Amino acid sequence: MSLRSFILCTLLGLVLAASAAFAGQSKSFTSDQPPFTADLHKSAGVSCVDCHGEGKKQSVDTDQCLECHKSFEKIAKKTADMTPNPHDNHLTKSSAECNQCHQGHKANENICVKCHSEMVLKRNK
Amino acid sequence: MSQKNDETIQANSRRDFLKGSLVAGVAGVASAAGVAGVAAAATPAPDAQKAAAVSAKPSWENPPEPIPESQIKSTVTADMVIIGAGIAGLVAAHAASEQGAKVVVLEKFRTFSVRGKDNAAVNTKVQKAAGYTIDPEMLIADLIAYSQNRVHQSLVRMWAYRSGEVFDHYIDLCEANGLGVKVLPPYNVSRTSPGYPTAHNWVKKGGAESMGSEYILTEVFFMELLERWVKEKGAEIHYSAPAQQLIKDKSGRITGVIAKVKGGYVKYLATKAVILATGGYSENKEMLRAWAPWGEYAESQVYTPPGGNMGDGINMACWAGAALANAPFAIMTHTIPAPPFGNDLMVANQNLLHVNRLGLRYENENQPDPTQCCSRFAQPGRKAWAIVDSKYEKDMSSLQTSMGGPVVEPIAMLEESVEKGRAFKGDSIAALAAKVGIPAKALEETVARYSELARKGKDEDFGKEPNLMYTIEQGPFYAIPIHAQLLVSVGSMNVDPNMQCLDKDDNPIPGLYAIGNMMGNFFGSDYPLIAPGLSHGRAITLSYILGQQLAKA
Ligand SMILES: Cc1cc2nc3c(=O)[nH]c(=O)nc-3n(C[C@H](O)[C@H](O)[C@H](O)COP(=O)(O)OP(=O)(O)OC[C@H]3O[C@@H](n4cnc5c(N)ncnc54)[C@H](O)[C@@H]3O)c2cc1C
Repeated sequence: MSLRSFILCTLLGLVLAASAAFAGQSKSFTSDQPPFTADLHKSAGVSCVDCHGEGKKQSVDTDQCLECHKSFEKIAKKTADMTPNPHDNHLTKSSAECNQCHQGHKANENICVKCHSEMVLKRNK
Repeated sequence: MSQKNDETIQANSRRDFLKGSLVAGVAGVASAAGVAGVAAAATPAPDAQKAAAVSAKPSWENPPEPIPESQIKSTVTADMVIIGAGIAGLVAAHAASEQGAKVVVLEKFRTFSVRGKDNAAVNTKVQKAAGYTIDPEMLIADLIAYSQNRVHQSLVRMWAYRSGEVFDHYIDLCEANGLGVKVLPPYNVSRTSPGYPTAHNWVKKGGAESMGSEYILTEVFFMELLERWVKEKGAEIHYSAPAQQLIKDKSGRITGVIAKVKGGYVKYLATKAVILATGGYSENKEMLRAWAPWGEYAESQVYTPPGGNMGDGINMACWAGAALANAPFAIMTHTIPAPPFGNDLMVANQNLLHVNRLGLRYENENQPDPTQCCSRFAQPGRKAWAIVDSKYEKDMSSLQTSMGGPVVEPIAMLEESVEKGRAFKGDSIAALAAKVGIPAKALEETVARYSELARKGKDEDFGKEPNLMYTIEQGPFYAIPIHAQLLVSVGSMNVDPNMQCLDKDDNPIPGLYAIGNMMGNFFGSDYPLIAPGLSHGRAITLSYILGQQLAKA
């Protein structure tokens, strides 16, 4: 990792920890949404090209996310206080792509409900 | 039909449809990354989109440009290359490597994929110990009738006569590794509806087992061990390596496959065979519409992990000249129970009174789940409801099923579902009809007639067995919508009785085989729940036999 991305990741980590706003500070994904993923990154000092690259309108793939976030296991540790943990399940172990739930410029979406229609992701009190 | 009910159901299905295509689309982008290869068929790259607009051909008839040699960063050679690390792919890999063959398995995701719990086999040591003997010829005859004989009988026979020995091998291996195997009684058997005790479940000592409407997904225990055995026997599993295109030499032989890995492509050459084990196409709308259009009526689509059954393997095979079996193809539609995170109520798909939106009964309800979905799709508006009264739990308590008793939710869960708008409740039949939005008078007459037949002990209208008929008289009354979930498709490629893919002239394609849900000619157009677990049972038995045979050849 370059020094620049190291600094960005650290900054982002701080912002996220401070605001606890990432993916589920709210009680559920359907109400009281946290800020959009892109806005969170921006307020942490991550610029558009850091994720999107130089080309025009490039979507951000999982490999790109993991450059900073390392692995699903590491991310799962950050959401260990959620039930169920959205980053530790049969999908994050197999096919999950970050942008299936975190569509940068839109509200987060809980794709678990496609099959588990009543699954609500909650942060433990 | 009440406006409210109509809207709820439609909104659900629209939402699921959108979600389904969203998930599929994203997965396609992620794995295809703009290359006109296999996964590009799901979310075509701009060039492929243009090409499709010009030709308007379906993806499987629209081969992409071959991946140029210059983009291949390395080559791997093995005896066999197996595409897909589902149960079929890993069993074939295991069987072949037990014989000393050099095997590589390619899997598009980060790990193997697995679902469910039931595995069908005939006359295993576990069945014998439990006192079950199955007459293979009776079962074969039923399966042939069920499929309208649109099968290779020799493949059905191979499963029926050899699943015992293949399963016994795995039962020994599992038991040596602390995993038990249990056989379950058949579903809903009666004089007029066959059912066989074929379902084997893997059980951990002291671990939870499926009971009533509680559904425990135990197949993963077997797959974890299987993956370990495959590796121990020396086979390699390359994860995150989606196969893109098959390689064909001048003679027409399939000699390998190109897979996409981080940073480029790898060519995998197979000296003996390429085996397609990429599962079904249930997540691919174009394919579903072409070969099993009624699958689109299912309220939701629950294949997991999402993106694994986009029909990649079918595209690749067809591009390389392989032919499809005769459509329509069988799909698996079921109800998956509610706990712990919601879904549908199993009680809806049991053999209780079913009525359509005219308030009329329309069938002998004692049918396996998948066929109940089919009959419901043939009703006005494709809607139907199961009707029960407040004593249904007691009524059904004596029923024998494979789930350790009747597959119904406790009444408290039904009440909860009423609160959530998933089921309806009324103090009288007329009040219930109003809630559902169906004609009250018709429903009253239907219920009265049903109770009369139950009391008589003779179903003069539809011939359901008397022990499955209960009066509906004690309020409050409930109506539960009969829903369907699309699980998988269970066949597509035209294979010969050796599981070898055929070309359009029905000649075997040297070096190319299809197993598991890729293999056609095994099921007709519906999934036969008369032999529960047959999709796993077929995958395990036939993939094992093929893997072994090819290794020895
Ligand atoms: C919820 C649920 C419960 C079920 N329960 C049961 C049950 O109890 N009993 C039963 O018999 N059946 C059950 N089924 C059906 C059963 O899971 C399947 O029929 C069976 O597992 C199919 O095995 P397969 O190996 O043919 O395909 P799959 O399991 O679909 O495996 C195919 C593999 O190929 C991979 N793949 C796809 N494209 C590519 C590519 N381009 N490159 C590399 N890899 C690729 C996929 O990611 C996947 O890992 C259930 C299905 C569902 C959805």
